[in-house]
Amino acid sequence: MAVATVLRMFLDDVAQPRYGYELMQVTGFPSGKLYPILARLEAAGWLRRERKIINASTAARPPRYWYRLTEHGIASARYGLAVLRQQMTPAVGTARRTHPEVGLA
Amino acid sequence: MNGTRLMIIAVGSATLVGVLNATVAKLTATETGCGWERLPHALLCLAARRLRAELRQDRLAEWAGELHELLSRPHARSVIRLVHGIRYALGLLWVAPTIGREATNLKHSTRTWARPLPPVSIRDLWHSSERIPARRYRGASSFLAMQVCGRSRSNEFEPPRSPFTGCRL
Repeated sequence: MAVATVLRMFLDDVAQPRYGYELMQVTGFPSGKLYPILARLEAAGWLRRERKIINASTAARPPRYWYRLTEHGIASARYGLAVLRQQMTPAVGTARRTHPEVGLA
Repeated sequence: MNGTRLMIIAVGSATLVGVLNATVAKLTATETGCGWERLPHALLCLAARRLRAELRQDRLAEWAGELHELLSRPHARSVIRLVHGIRYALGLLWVAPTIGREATNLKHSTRTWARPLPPVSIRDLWHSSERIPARRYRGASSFLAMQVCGRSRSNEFEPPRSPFTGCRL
């Protein structure tokens, strides 16, 4: 579910690159949970990590890296989340068993 | 009598807490040579050392950039920023081997902490302490103190420091 949460953040606006710290704030995940997910998605080719171009001599700060979904990542994430949503949705028979009032009206 | 004793304890405790608070606030607010503000950077250096050599520079650069962003938030007290920075760095220190495995698609990583030191006898250390690189035979606490304080007894075997994190890889 943590991976799905991260992917949903990226799919909200696929053109928007995301920083690690920004993702930590939005998802509420600590660094120890978020960065392994980002590394796994990057190694799978779903995310692309880019260095933000800044003039280090004038900025006086370390460069930042951002993440962006690749084309393959966009398609795979959408498909994966759809499958997950389908799996999480209770089947009709299950709904009747857990909520007997469904379908009886 | 009991009321007077309780009052004295309460006043003493309040004074102690006040002094501690002021000390921590001063330590974190001022740029001292060996201040607490360097602790997150030192922890990031340790985390990078748990990665495979080919990943270290790249990942440390990314983490240092995010840590800088975290530590320079305008609407937070310096102590709060420092606590968040330490928490950020500790999280990465804990999962650095996992990040290395995930980044390289490896099931098992052989790299954990710094490579083991070769065996050395007490007699060798006693008689030739000047010739042995001190950095390689230092304890973990001394190493951490060196990272935090940026001091070293011997610089001849040490690579240059990173300009932003101040750590040697």
